Amino acid sequence: MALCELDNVDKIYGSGELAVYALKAVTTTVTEGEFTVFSGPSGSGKTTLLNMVGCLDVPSSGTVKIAGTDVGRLSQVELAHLRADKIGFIFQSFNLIPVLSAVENVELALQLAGQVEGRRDKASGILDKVGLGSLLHRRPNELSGGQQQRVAIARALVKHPSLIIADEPTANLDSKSGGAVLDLMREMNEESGVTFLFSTHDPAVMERAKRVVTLVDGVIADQGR
Amino acid sequence: MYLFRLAFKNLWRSPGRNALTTIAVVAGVWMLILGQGFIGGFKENIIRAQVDTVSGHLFAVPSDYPTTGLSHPIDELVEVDADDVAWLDANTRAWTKRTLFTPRVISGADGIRARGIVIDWDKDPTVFDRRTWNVSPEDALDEPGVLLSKGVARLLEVGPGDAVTLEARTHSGQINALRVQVRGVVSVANPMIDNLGIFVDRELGEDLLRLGGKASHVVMMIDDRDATAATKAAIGDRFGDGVDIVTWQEETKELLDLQEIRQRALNFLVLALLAMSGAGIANTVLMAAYERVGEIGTLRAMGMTQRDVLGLFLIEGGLVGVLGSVLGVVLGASMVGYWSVNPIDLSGQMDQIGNNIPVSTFLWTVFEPSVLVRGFFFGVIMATLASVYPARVASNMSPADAVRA
Repeated sequence: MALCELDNVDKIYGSGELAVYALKAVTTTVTEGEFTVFSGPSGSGKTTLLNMVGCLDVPSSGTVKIAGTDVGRLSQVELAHLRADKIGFIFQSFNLIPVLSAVENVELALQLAGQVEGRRDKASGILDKVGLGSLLHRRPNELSGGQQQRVAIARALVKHPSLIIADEPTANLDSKSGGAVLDLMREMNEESGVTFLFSTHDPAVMERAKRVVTLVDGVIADQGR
Repeated sequence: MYLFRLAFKNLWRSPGRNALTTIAVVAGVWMLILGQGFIGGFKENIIRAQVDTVSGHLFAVPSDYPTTGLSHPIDELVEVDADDVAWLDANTRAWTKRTLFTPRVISGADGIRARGIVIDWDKDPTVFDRRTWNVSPEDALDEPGVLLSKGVARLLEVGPGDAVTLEARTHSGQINALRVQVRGVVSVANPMIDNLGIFVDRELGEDLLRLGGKASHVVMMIDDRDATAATKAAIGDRFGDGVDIVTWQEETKELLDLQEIRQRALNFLVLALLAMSGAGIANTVLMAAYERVGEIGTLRAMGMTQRDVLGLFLIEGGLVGVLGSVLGVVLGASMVGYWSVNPIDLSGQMDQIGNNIPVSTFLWTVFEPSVLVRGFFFGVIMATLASVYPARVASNMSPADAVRA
């Protein structure tokens, strides 16, 4: 079943003669349970595409549908609620909230998703699952890069989203930590069926992907099916 | 509630910067409370100096009696008969007669024109509060006699035990003079008396001025100082034509009006200070917003709405305001509270500038809880309002751009 549908999507920055196409006539579909990588050189539009799918940005033209909802028709508040309920993010620089402990960072995702009951237990449980059960109360600056990215994974997963978007999740990790993080995400994908979309040019990520979509200059060069 | 927790934790990210901003709020709120306390005190100073040393709550004087300068004619005086005495005893808390005159006080070859006050030695203290009096020697008030103000004593270089000559016109216009011994030197915390005044016991006053039991002033105290209107009307009826009844409100009106102008000037000053504090807060919150662009992007990506981001930064500014306001209120209240009980003695400075305005030389403050409440809310609201612009900057950031920062 299609989770994300992009139909003839353009994203243009600037206007007139200065207009730059970040994405041009992109059409693709991501089905539930995929573990898909968007790859391509820098500036090829990977991050812009993930921003569209993650409802952080809207297309200049074309339609983006998430679980059948045309996100171009949603207000900012509705987009925020959609992100809170259905989409988890994992970033290259981990992007944990520095004043919150590991467990509080995970709890915040539940809070924003409106899942108030048993928040602490759920957050502790998922951190335990990613191997951080003994580091619940450490702040981000007291954790290694790999541990921080595991907290970020827990934070993305805890609310049981339909989709997790990971923008270059291993770029700031050494190969051992990066491999462990990828294995963990793959395990979660297989265990819970949550869809993972990556942007990367890390071969280790592509090796583990079920599908690799290649972008060149804002255009999909290979759908990877 | 989670926004409050998050905002509170965020305050500890830059403790130094937030502490400086808090100090700015403390200064603003403290100034507001202290300023209001002193302004209230100034107002009370004027009232007390007038009531406690010159006019009581209200007084009766001959019609058209001059109210300014060193002119105290005694050709027209107020007569108080036995019925008046009974009425005054029944309808006032206390009353006394005073006669103001302008003697020449002569010592050797020196002489000055002074403001003489004939007083009833026993009854005068029931009307005029003597707690602020400073008398030398201490027993000078035990027996009737002549007391020189410290200004007259200094000018003529005389002191207790010395003899001076008082020269004045009598009630009927003849020139008369008496050689008297100075019992003591007094300051009453009112420069109008402390610079040129002398107190003369009624018996001596009669010898010198031939008053025939009459007085230039009949001074009264009533139970409620704000309820002078009814008493004024009743006394006016009693004394009839030829006598004016003047209240302390009428006597102090010009000075209190001047005080209102000072109040406005101070309010403007405090407003300017608070505006500076507000700019400091706005700057702090704006810096926090720009430092945390990536974090704002993350929060937006996680589903935080623009309104929540706006709320988060407003709460952060508001918390700085609450902390600063609480500290400002505590600091301001303790200082205002202390000076309301232990006034600052400005008599030395008043002497140096030769002040002749009827304001008490004691500077005290007025402690009003409502000012504290006002100061607190003013600080909090100002801090929150100052955070609106930076909070809007933060909440209007594009999540896609912010998350990449």
